[in-house]
Amino acid sequence: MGSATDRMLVFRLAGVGFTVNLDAVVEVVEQVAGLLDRGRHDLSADIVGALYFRRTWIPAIDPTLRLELTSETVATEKVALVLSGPEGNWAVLVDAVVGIHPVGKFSPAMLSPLLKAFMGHKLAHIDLLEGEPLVRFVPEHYYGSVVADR
Amino acid sequence: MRRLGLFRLGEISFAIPLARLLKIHNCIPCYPLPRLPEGICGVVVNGQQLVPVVDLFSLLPGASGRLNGTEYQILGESECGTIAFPATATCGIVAEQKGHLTSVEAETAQVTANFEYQQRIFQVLDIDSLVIGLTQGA
Repeated sequence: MGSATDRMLVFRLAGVGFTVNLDAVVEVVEQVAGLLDRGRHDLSADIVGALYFRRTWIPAIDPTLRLELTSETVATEKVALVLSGPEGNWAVLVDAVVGIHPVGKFSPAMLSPLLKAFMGHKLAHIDLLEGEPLVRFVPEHYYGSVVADR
Repeated sequence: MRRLGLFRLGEISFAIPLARLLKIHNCIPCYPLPRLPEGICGVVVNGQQLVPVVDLFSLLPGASGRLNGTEYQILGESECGTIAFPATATCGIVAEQKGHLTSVEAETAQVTANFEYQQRIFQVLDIDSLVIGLTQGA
């Protein structure tokens, strides 16, 4: 049996496919309705609310703000990926979890200089899975004291 | 002898020099990505390479329409790498002398001339100027 590090979780956000290393994922919360307090937000840090998880409240991040994407999925129908970080657990709200695949099924996509210029270095790592480009989601770029370039 | 690759996007017809035309894909998906600038509507996958798809409707003055349902992706080579143009139809490859090149009324950086061929006017695209315009907006 492979370790979590050998596998990637694929999720969608505003029609865009993303991957995150399964090693960083604590749990997938399929139903956030009733668990998400939208009153506890700090939009300057992309925190759109607090998620009740394992008897505590953890920050919930909506990456669409930073990524300049528009999702049609309402907050109560989102899926929360609970991720572990240096400052504890936090949640990222996504539209849907698509699946889990071994790292070996992905291959790196090549980006032209033009695309690299548009997307910046933080989004420049894109993998292909069965011909579909998936953006590598790097948790540290979205939450934590090291996040910069807001 | 210069040859031109001809294609249509909705009601508008375009031409690019054959020397810049790499490939024509039929029915391949266009994927969205974050932070693409206005003028780029997504990417197509060509082998392992991601190719930005140019939204000609948003770039050319007076052009309007919807990219939904475009059947073809015309891949062209620019100074900054490969780019794709969505097309609803391909119209062949013709030698320049089989038609007439005429100047455009209001020349833009992206369209350098009109090519009249079989009673249709094709706008001749300057791929490098198109790409330079996109990078200036990035």
